[in-house]
Amino acid sequence: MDLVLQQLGQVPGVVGSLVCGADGSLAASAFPAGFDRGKLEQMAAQLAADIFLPEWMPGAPCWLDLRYRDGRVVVRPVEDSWLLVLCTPQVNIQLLQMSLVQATRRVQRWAPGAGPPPRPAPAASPPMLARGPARPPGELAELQEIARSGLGDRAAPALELLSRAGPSQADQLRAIGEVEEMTRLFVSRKEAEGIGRRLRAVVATRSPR
Amino acid sequence: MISVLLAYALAVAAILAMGVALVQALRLGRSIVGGEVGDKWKLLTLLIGFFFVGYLVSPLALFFELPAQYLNLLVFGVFLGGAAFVLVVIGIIRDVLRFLKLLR
Repeated sequence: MDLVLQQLGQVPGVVGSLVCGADGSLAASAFPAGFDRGKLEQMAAQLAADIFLPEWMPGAPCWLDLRYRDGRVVVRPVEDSWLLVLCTPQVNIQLLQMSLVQATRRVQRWAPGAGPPPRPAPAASPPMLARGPARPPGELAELQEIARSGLGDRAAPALELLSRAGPSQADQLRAIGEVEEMTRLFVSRKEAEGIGRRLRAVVATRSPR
Repeated sequence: MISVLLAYALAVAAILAMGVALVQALRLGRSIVGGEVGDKWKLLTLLIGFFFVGYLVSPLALFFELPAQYLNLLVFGVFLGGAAFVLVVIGIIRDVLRFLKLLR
C-alpha cells in the first residue's frame, strides 16, 4: 500500500496521502518528513469519526474535494477505509482523479475487510496453469520498455495497463489492445499501430501450451 | 431602440464569452498531443474560431441592417455550426469515457 501512496505522490501538485480505516487507525501514509505522524493520526481519527461522510459518499465513485487558500484535500472512500490526498492549489484535478481511480483499485486489495494482500503464486501452481502459460521472466520489462520508448513521458497509463494484466497470453494481448486503443485516442493512430505490432511480437514469441 | 441596444449588448457578451472559450481551447490544445482526441480538439478549436469571427462581425449585420433573407441564412448557418460543434464535443466525451473505462 505504501508503494501505491508513493506513486500517488508523484502526481504533480500532490503533497502527500494517507489511508485510514473506519476505526480511525492510520493504515499507511506517504507524507514529506516535515509532517508530524501524530497530527496525521489525529486527522485520520477525525476523518473516521465523521458520521456524515459515509452517508454523503457511499461508494468509490464519490469523492470529496475540500478547497482551501493554501491547498486542497481530496477524500475518497475505499471499501471501509478512506483515502485522503493533500494537494497544492495548483494540482491538475483531472490528472489526480485518473490517478485516484487507479490508486483506489489498488488500495482496495489491501483495505481492512478485504482480506490479506494477495501473495504471488508460485510459477507452477495449478491455477496459473489453468489460465495459460506463465509470463516468461523479463517479458513485462520488455513490453514496458517498448511502451516507454514509443510514448515517452506519456507512457505511465500504458505501463500501468501492462503491469496489471494477468500472466496468460490472452491477458497480455488484451492489455496490449488497451494500450493500442489509448495510444490511438491520445497520441496517434500510426504510433498505435506500431506499438501494438511491437508488443504483440514480444508476446507471440511465447509458445502457448 | 431598446431592442437594438439589447442586441448590441448581447453581441458584445457573446464576443467576450467566445473569446474566452477560444483562449481556453488553444491553451488546452497544447496539452493534447494528438490521436483521435487531438484531431477532434483541432476541429473544435476551428469551430470556436469560426464562431468567434462570426460573432465579431455580427454587430455589422445590425449596423448595416442586413436584409431578412440574408439574416435567415446567417441564423440557420449558425444553427448548423452549433449542431456540428455539439457532435464534436460528444465525440470527445465518448473518447475520454472510453479511456477512463480502460483505466478502471
